[in-house]
Amino acid sequence: MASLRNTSIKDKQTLIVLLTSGVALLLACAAFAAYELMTFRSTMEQNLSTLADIIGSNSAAALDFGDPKAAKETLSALRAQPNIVGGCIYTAKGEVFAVYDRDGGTQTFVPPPLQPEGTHFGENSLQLFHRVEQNGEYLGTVYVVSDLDALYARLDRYALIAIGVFFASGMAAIVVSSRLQHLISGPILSLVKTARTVTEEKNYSVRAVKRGEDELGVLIDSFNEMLKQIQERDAALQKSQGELEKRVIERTREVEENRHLLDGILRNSVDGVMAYEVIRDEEGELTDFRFLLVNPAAERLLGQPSAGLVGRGLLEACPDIVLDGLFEAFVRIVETGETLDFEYSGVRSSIMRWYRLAGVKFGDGLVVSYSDITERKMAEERMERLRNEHKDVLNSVGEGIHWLDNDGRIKFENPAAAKMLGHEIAELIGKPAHVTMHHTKSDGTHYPVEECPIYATLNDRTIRRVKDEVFWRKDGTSFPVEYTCTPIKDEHGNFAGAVVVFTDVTQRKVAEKAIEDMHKQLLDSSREAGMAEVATSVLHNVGNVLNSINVSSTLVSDRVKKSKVANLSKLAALLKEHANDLGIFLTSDAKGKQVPGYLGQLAEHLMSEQATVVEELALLHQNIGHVKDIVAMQQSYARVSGVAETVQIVDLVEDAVRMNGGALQRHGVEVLREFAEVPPISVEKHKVLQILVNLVRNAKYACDESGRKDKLLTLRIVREDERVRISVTDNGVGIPEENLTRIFNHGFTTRKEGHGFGLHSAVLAAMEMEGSLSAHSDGPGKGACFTLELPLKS
Amino acid sequence: MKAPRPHKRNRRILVIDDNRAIHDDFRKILSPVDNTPTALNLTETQIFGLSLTEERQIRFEVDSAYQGEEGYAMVQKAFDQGRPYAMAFVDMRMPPGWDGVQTTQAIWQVDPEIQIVICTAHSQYSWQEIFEIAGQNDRTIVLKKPFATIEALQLAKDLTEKWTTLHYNSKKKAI
Repeated sequence: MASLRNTSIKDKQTLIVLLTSGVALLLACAAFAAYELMTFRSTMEQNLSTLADIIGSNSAAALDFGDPKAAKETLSALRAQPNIVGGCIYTAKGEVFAVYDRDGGTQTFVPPPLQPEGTHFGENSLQLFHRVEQNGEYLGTVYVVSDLDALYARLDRYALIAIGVFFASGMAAIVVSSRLQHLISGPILSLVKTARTVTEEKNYSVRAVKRGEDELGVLIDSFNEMLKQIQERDAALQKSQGELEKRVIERTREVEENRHLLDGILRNSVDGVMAYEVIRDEEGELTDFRFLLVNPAAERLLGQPSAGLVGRGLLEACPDIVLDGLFEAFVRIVETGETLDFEYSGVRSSIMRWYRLAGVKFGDGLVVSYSDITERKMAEERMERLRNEHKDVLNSVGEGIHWLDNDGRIKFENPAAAKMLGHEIAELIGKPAHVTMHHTKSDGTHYPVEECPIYATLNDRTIRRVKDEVFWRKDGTSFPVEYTCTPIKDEHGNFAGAVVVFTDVTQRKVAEKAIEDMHKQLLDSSREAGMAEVATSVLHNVGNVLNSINVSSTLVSDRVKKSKVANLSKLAALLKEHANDLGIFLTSDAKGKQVPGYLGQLAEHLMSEQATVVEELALLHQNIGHVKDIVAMQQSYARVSGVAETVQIVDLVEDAVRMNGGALQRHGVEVLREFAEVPPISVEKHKVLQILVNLVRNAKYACDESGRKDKLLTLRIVREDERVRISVTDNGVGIPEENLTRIFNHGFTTRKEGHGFGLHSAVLAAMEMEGSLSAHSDGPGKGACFTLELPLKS
Repeated sequence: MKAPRPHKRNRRILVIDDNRAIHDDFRKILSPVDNTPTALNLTETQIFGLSLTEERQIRFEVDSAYQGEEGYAMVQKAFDQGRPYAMAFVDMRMPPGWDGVQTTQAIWQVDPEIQIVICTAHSQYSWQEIFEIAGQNDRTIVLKKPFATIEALQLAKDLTEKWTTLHYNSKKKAI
């Protein structure tokens, strides 16, 4: 088959035509021969059967009569048929009755045993058994055997004819195909020729000739098209190859330039640059790095010239590198491929220096760049130290400190502040300060951010000191604070929020409260003993008077001590000394002559001294009397505490006015009295007086504060059924409505020096006496009216 | 302002008190009238020799104000004229105007060098409160009435001296 494949298409075609026609012819011949054979055999069978039938009919009588001779004669008629080899007749009993042998006695024919009726083709023979019957009676059987020579002769003839036809048609096919094959193989061969030309001469301009529009025509078209494309591509390729060469030249130049640039950079770089390749042992394990490149800056860092390093191992050249931990870092870069950028410190020339190192894997090795960042690092450390010191200071102060940005969000919080507020520092950073810790006032009402002093500082950038506010803890409790908020600027001079420094004043408040309580207790006890208000004024007055007394008495005693009286005794001694010649002494002695004049002067002086002392003593006496008066007046009210006595209300009112008399006059307050007739009532006198003194003094203050010229105080006494009403009305500053009830609260006062229990104790006292005390005012600036109501009979 | 050399002592004192008797007291102590005639003393010297040289008492220049506001105005005026007060005695309780603490705070706004003695007979303020309000510093002393004359006199002497020392020291520093 392989040889067939390589034969030319022309031969293949011829062969195919021949084989095809040969096979067709062969099949036709075989079919024809088979048909002819079958037909012939059937004819033979028929002929033989007819022959046997004739013989049977003719030999029936002979059998019937048992005449073998006649039977043999009948059989010899077979001689007319040359192809009958032999024949015999069997009796009904199956015995051979008569035999015919074509070749006569040569024993070629031997009658076979009797078989039933039928034909059998044997080897080279056709045998037939035919039953002989007469009138339905079985007489015997005729057996005829024929050779097949005629058949074979016929077959031989057919074979001859077939071969003849075979050759004739074969020749005809060769002739026809050799004529027709040009239609197919011609164009193919032409194509082959063209292809060979292209291949051998590399000439893509030749084209195959097309002869028709069949498949080959298409093939040639495609082939030509292909050639055309190849031709074009070849041209383009030729062109681009030219360009490529140009570009390669350019690129080479660029690379060269870049290398120069890189060399320049490496040479002049402040950073040390080194390249290493990995040294591995036989197992491929990394053992060291070999220097490939060391730039001048790196030479300086390593303290060795490049020439001494390149080609050597890192561990060998710089054994201390392991101590620095760099070797492990290099191994990591090479093994993981990650880029490392880290800072490390090392001692160079006995000075601690810091380096920043960046390493990148490069092939089986790495490129490392170092820079000396010692200066920066030291500056950073200084900064850090400074920052830590500041932080230490901020962290250690007991005051809470937070720094708010311009939006009021917490930027910094020191531990003391966070602790006071019950938060973690991290929780507070970035939180708006006001809503976090300053949302509610101490009285439990909402604290709007617009009113917050801290926010005001953020807006107007002025320092504020605030007392009496509360900050709220995380757990919802609050604590009293005092704080300062200070606006601060950043390094560019821009406002960077405010710093709030606050102190938890709970302890101080407690202490203050204790002192206040003690003070109140003292005042309460003094009020219990008598009248606190009166006592305050009495003590002040007594104090002042005592001062004058003190000064006067000191003055008098000084005067007396320094008195020139003493000089009299000196003079007497002098005169005694000159007792014998007194006359001469007084008239002619320089000293003695002056004595009479001196005596006159001394007398005059002593008189004036006496006058001064007398004057001072009079003042002293007067002041002592003054003290007595004050004390007596105080005692007249203090002594009778708790005892009800029957008094005229008018007297008590007048006493109250009198006790404030000086002040009323000093401040130009006119007093108007509208007293109705009321019977005497039984009351605790000092209590009523305490209330009235309070009311009158308050009215006076109210008038004073209003600043008006026509200050007026109206006192009324009115009887209503079984009660008496005493009202004190002023035209002073008045009382805002919200304060009308609060003024009776303990500790409430609108006056700076007020202690806020005057009205409180007054209302208590009124209640103790089954009376009442009420206040009325039309509002600020419209004056006020206080009314004490007491029962006529207790 | 020229600094006189040697340092001239500033003996100007302001008394602020609503009680006139107190002013008289201060004058008697700080600015006593020595009515001894000079002739008498001269004669004594001649007759008895020099044995009796009486120490001459320092005399202070005492001005009076009867309300805190008035005192404040006087301090301001004196300061503006270049004749500041060295010290002031300020009463605690001076109705109806400012009390001693308010007055002191106002005065220091004008003249921070002035030395203050707060006088009090009896007051709602405790000592501690006075210090808290007036500021805990070395420019305030509390004097309780009734006081001994020697107390007032010593305070006047010491505080005027203190003022002089501090004043010229601070000027020296400023130079």
